[in-house]
Amino acid sequence: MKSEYDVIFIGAGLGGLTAASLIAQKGKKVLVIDKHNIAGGYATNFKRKDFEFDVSLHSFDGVVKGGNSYKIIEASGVADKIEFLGHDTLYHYQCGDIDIKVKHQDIEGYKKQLVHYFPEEEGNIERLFSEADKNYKDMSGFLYSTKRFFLRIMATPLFYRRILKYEHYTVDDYFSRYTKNEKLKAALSAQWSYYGLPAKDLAFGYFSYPFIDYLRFGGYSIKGGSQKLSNALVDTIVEHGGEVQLASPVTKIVTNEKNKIIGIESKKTGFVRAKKIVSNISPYAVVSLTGDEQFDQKFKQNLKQLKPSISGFQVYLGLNCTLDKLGVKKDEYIRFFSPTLSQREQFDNLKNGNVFEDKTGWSINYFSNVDDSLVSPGKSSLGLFTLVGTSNWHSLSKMEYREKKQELTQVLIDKASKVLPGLVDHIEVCEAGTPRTMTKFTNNPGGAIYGFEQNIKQSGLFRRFPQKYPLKGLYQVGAWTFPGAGFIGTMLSAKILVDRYF
Amino acid sequence: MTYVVTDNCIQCKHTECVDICPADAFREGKNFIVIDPDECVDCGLCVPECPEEAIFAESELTTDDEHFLELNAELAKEWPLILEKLPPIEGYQSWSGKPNKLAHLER
Ligand SMILES: Cc1cc2nc3c(=O)[nH]c(=O)nc-3n(C[C@H](O)[C@H](O)[C@H](O)COP(=O)(O)OP(=O)(O)OC[C@H]3O[C@@H](n4cnc5c(N)ncnc54)[C@H](O)[C@@H]3O)c2cc1C
Repeated sequence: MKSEYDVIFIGAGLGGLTAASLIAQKGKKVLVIDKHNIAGGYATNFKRKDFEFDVSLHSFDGVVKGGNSYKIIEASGVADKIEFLGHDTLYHYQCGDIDIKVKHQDIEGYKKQLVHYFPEEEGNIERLFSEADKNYKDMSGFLYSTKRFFLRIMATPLFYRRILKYEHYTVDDYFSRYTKNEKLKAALSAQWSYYGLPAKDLAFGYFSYPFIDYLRFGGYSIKGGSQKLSNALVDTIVEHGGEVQLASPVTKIVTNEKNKIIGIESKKTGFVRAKKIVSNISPYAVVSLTGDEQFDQKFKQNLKQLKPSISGFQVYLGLNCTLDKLGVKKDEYIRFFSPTLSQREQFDNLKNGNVFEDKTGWSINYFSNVDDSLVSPGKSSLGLFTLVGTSNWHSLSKMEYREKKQELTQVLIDKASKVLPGLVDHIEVCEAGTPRTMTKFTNNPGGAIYGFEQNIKQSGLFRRFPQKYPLKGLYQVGAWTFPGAGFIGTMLSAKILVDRYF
Repeated sequence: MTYVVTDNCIQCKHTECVDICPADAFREGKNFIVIDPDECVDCGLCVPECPEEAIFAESELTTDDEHFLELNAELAKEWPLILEKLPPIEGYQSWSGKPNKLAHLER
């Protein structure tokens, strides 16, 4: 450990690690410090008996050589260290009589299936994708431009104009320009749980990049789980002279009498000096670690008004048989079930914790179908996932909490058993991650899994919680800032931060 | 692998570790708590929670502390489950940080 660094990163989540890697590669002395004893935040693995599970990753969009999203993998110095495994089926969506399997890099096939269900909408479908493609191009042009950041902003009205055009659009607003068909709109936004809001409330700007990125370039897992990515980032940081200090909760962000950042404190490291600090933790935590009095009223008022995202609940199952024994084909991966048409209704139920009946969407991930390196031969693993509200979990006593966790686990297993008869006879390992678990491991308030909610007031370049604090030397990276959560979202936030301020 | 509670906990017993444990792996004695190695899932969340820095990964135990591995396993079989955080032992301040408290362990 040194006593001084150029930049200290609080939190070794994907945002923090990626930014640290980018900055270390520029020759700066960086320190990443995390409370947990493994790096990665949500992008970690855990083991139970014979099985290893990826905590969070269901699908990483677009990370294929030549694709846009791959550029950030290359830039962060990990392209040679990790392997991506494509999903033969991007997803399989079921809602009422609609049953659509979206295949890998097959946007035309996807459109055909939509036209099959909505023949009268053919022209509209064509037009909405054509414009979504152009919008994707504008977004990518902006995000991956090599021009200086302020030039990029200046060029936006001319060269990336759709970013501004759709700034105030929800996903539903966008689709509604082309169609009135609610079923079609619901099918188009089948992946809404990835973004944590129903199409009617979700900002189009945030959704529109991965929407096309998934369809054109595919969805991926990381071979060996997302821990491999986090570890690869740590390696790159260390190779470039940086340091990663784990199991050290930061207890204070230290400022001097001129309100400038001068360093951090943690029990393990004591005071460590740096003029620049990048937070990868929630802005609420930043305020409390720095001291409330360091921030002006306006800033605090704004922060108070922001809404954190919803949380999630995932059941991780290790099975003593292969998936084909349960009738699952090798090319299957993610299945989205949507028992009712209205996403908003589902969302309200999810948010209020009404997840015990069959009214809300949920999904299955056949993990070992894509990556069997995390299970022993002859065994398999899968995940059952639902969004769930952040309240109603944290104040329970441990016994009440245990019961609730058990109850919801059972609900999801029962739902899955309808799709996979015989499932319960093969469960060897069953673990569940709840909103409380999310908070335990990351300190994210309420167990928010996507930072601030991506409604149109809190999304986009000009509305998202900023990457720079009103305190000199203090910055934000990761899910809580622009563009937002997700593997690509947090890695991009690192790229934008570095392009703009470092 | 498991995590192990060592000497520093004795006579202090803050129990901060209990609340964070996702596996409910802690077992409580009068003036010490231990981790049941069969329940521990190696997440390590308890390590930074402990104000006395008494918890270590099995692989990081010093040779002096190695016997705590067996002691944790043994006591975990006898002692009851503890699920909720309790106040620390009264007067823990005078014991905090003192070496070699094992002689004071109440079984
Ligand atoms: C169940 C689940 C499924 C998901 N599925 C997908 C998916 O399929 N595709 C996708 O793209 N995204 C997915 N996501 C979202 C994605 O995982 C996250 O958006 C992303 O990993 C967040 O990264 P981050 O940089 O914001 O940091 P986080 O992961 O939030 O990490 C923050 C870090 O800060 C540390 N920290 C907190 N407080 C302190 C402190 N005081 N001192 C030191 N360190 C501290 C924490 O220990 C943690 O390591 C999923 C998330 C979850 C939970």
